[in-house]
Amino acid sequence: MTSSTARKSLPASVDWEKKIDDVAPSKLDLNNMVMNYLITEGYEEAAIKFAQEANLATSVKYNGIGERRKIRNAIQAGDIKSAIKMINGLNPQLLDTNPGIHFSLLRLQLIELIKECNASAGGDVTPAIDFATKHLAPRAPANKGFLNALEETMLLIMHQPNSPQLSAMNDPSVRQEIAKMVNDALLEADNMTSEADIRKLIRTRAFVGEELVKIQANVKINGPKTPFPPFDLGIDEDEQMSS
Amino acid sequence: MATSAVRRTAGFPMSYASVASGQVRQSRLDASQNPTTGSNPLSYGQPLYPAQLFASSTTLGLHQDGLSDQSTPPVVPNYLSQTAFTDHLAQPKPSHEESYTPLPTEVAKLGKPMYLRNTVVDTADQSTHSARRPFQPLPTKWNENDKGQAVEVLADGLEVKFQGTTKNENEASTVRADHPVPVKCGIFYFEVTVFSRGKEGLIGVGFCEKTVDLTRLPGWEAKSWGYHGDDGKAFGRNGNGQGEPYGPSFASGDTIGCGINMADHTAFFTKNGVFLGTAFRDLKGTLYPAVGMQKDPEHIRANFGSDRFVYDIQNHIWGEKRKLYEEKICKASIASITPKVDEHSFIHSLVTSYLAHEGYVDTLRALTNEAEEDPSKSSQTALHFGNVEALKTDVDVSRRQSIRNAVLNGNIDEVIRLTDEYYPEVLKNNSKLHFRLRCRKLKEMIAASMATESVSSNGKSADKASSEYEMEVDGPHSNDWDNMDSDENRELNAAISYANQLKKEFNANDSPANNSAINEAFGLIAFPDPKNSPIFAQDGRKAIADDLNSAILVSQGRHSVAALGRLVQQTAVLVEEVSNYGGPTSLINVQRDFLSSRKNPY
Repeated sequence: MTSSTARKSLPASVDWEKKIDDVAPSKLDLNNMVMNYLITEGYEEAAIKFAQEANLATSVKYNGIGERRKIRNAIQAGDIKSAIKMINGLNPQLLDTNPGIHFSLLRLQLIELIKECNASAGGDVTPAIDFATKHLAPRAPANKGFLNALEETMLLIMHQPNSPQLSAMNDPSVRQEIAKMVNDALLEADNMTSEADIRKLIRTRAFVGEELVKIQANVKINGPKTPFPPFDLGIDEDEQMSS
Repeated sequence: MATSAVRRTAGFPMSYASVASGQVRQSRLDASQNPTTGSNPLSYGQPLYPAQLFASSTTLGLHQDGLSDQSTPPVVPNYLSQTAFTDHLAQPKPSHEESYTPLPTEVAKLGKPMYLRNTVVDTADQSTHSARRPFQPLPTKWNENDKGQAVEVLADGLEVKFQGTTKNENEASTVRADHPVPVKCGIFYFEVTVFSRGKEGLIGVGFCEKTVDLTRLPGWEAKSWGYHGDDGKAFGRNGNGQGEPYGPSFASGDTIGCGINMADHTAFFTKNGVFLGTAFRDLKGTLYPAVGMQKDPEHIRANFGSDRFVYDIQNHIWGEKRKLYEEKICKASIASITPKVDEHSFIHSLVTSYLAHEGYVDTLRALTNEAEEDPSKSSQTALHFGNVEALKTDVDVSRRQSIRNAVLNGNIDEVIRLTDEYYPEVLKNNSKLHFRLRCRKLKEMIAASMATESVSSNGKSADKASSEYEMEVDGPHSNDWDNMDSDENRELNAAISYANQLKKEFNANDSPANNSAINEAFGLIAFPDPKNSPIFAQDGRKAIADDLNSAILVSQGRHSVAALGRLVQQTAVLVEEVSNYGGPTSLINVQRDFLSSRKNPY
């Protein structure tokens, strides 16, 4: 009812481009958003340069920003041992207070070991089994999920190298996901928001765009039906041509 | 927190037009910095809206200091600052020419109820803008022209007392608020404190549509909903006038809160700050807060947000926003925005293209080097790194950077020389920008002359200035001092003749605006430290650097706003539009949620 009374006089079409052009986000806000990205993603040098170039007053300590990225990269490269060492160096309590993350990392390490064992001559899996017994098994009873995950992982020992099961667990996206969990936990431990604002903004743009499509598709709602212009990143062929 | 926020509004009542002057802006900042010593008597327990002024006012205006023009900013409860209701990022821009220097976000936030600050209602950069669309009015008091016979609206419009008789137990007397709840609110919340429950406690707190009969309690009729004090039942779930068990009964001294959630079309109540759960679902219609009574001496007082609430509504809204983010926004598919590249690469491209666009070349270089160390995440990553390479070596980027640096150093002659050399069309086609640059040069000249330092000297200016200052103290009658004095005069004379030249060139006789822009620069002379004066405004250089950068980009056929900026623009317009229909987006406030440095804790 509100919508029908309040929007009686609405035109059937709307000039989205004009409305969009009329929005004036402040430069400072955009700069802060970029800074937030550089910090959460661990681009330390860039963050320092940006604070200078954009003349941003920032209270952020830069220590540890680059370290987080190194940890992330180590996890993504499968070097879990160094990653755990660096995490403990940066925040000694983190893995103790986040047993789920610790278990996920150890499991990744086990997968790497299994891969190594499978690849070695004779395929001796003893080191992998030893590692599982020593590091993972004691943690498993604490949590049903841990136990299942451990069982699933140990089954990999019986599979051939390059089996679909092994490659599924070895998928880069698994490591990427765990790397993000670690980064988020480190940020939260430092009282920083783990999700970069840009990511939230993109998701919101997508969500609200969908909502508008739904509203426009609803014949009962009397409003402008002009489709909203798509978002264009603007750095494909055009940008390169002009450079 | 709520205290200072409400008090902060005390610094706000001034006309928008006057805000354009730096002086007023400063005084507002002072008021916000020093909330306890504001001269305005506004505080808790005092009526926020003088009732007599409201009779003639259609907008939700706080008329104080004798300023009663329509441009007085509306007062909105703090909690609404979180919702779409206050988000004016996408509202029509002011025609004001100086809009390229937005006021600090903080200042723009004054004058709205804290709880509304994270919804679409907020984002209002209402600083300079008489052209802004006015807020939709909020319920602020009981409407004495929209009540049942047997209740009286007292004093400031917040108190209601039963003062008549009813014929039978089916009759009651209800009063509606002055305005319905705007759909954009996200959540609207008000509280009712029971002063006296009477014998039976037949008080109903709730809301209803405009057409509902006022001789009945809220919830007894269709299109009416209420929580009743005598039995704690919720009336209106089925529209058949029957109550259903909901919460405890309530009595004298209790404070009952009512929240109308426009985002999911539900309503809840609170009792003495305790949340009682969802009472109603699938709400529709234009809803007015309402309270009804049946017996003498029932008596209540409402709080529509001018005072601190008993219930922590701000936290409630944060919870709803977090839920929205986790359950819906996070799960939205971004394929509609970036069909080709994955999210990670997409975000990285947004950042790198922003850096290139704005000419932050050193940052771009550092970021590119660091990102090259990252293990490649997907085949698509290569695509945007390729672009970064292209941008990094982009001759255009480094040209724009050298122009920017010249502006930031205050070397305007160099700026004009470089711009004319690299982009000969830009200043020719932008006479306003050209004029601003020239005025900037005048300011730089005057400021430099005040520092008793020749305009052309570069390098260790601070050292020089301080040593000359010492000389001045030690021997004001020495030859050095005389020389310096004449130096200063010479420079000032040069500035004056430059100003006259400007006036001729830009036809100041026929353009009062140009004339006053030129004259403004001479105000610098009055400041002992001109470089730190509001007229010189260090960030004035930054604003010019940004605008010149945009003008160059436009002249190159590029978009004047970087992709990241356009993402913000699009999102703001979408939220603004979609929130007009209520629904979950009314809980989003683009400015607050993504842009302000002081964030919502979610």
